[in-house]
Amino acid sequence: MVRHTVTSRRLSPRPGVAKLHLAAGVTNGVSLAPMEQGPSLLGLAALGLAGLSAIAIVGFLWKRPALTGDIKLRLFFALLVLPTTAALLGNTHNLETTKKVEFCNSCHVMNTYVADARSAESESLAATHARLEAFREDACYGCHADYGMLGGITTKIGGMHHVKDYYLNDWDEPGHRGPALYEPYDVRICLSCHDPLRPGAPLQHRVHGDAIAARSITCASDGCHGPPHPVKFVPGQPREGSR
Amino acid sequence: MKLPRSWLGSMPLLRVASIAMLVSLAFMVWGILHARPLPVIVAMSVGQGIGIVGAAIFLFVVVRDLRRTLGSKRDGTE
Repeated sequence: MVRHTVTSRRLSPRPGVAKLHLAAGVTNGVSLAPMEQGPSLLGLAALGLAGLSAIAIVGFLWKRPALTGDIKLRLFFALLVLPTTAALLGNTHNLETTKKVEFCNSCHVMNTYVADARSAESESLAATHARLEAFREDACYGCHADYGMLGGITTKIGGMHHVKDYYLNDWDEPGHRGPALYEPYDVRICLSCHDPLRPGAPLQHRVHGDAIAARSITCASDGCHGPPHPVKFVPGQPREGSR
Repeated sequence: MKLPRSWLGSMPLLRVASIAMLVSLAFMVWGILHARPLPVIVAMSVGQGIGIVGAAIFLFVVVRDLRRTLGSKRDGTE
C-alpha cells in the first residue's frame, strides 16, 4: 500500500484555490489515511453480536432443550434482539463502506479513474478534490452523491443501476463503452462548496451566471474546469486492486 | 396443500427460524468482511429477507404460545 503525503503547497493562479502537491513516500507531518481498511468499530460490533447470536442458536439446535421460560428468554435474545441490533449496525457500516474509494475501485472498470484521482502528479479536477481532507477516502461519493434531502437514497438507486450494468456486461469486450453517468452532472453538487458568483468572481463566471443558475452548464464542463477525469477507459485493461 | 400438523409445532418452527437466522447472519458477516458490491448487496437484500422471515416465524410462535397460555388461564378461571 502506498501512503501519500503532502510535500509542498503552492497557490494556484486562480485566487482562493490552493493546490496541494502530493508525492508518495515522503513525509512532512501530514499524511493521507490509508485507502484500504478493515471493518470499522460498527462493523466489529455487528460481527461480535452476530457471533453471540450464532453461538446461542447453534447451542439451541445442537442440544434441543425443552422450551422452558429460561430457554424462551435466550431464544428471544438469540433470534430477535441480537440479530436485529447486529443488522442495524451492519447496515450502517455497509452504507458507510459503499462511500469509500476502495469500494468503487473494487470494480476494475473504475481502476483508471481512481488511479488518476490518487495520482500525486495529476492536476485533474478529481485528483485536486481527492487530496482534500473533506473528500479523501470518500472522494468518489463526495462528488457523485446526489444533492438534496433524498440524495442519499437516489444515489444508492443510481449505484444499483451501475452494479447491474457492471455484472450484466462484458466490459473487456473490445470497443466497449466506458462507465458513464446516466444523467448530466448536477452543478448543485459543486455549488454546495463553491460560490462561482461570489464578489470578485472571474469574468467567465459572471458571463455564465444565468446558465449556472439555470443548471444548464456545470463547472466540470469541457472548457470550464473539466473534464473531471481526463482518462480513457480501455476494455481489457490490466486490473489493479479489483477483486 | 396442507402442512402436516407436527411441522407447525413450536419446536420445528423454532428450528426453522434458527436456521434462517444463521443463514442471514452468515450473509451479513460475508458482507462486512468482504466489502465488495455483490456481497454487500446480497447481505442487505437476500440476507436480511431471510432474517426477517426467521424473526417473523419466531414472533408467530411467541404470539401463538401467549394466546394459548392466556386462553387456558381464562378457561381455568371461568
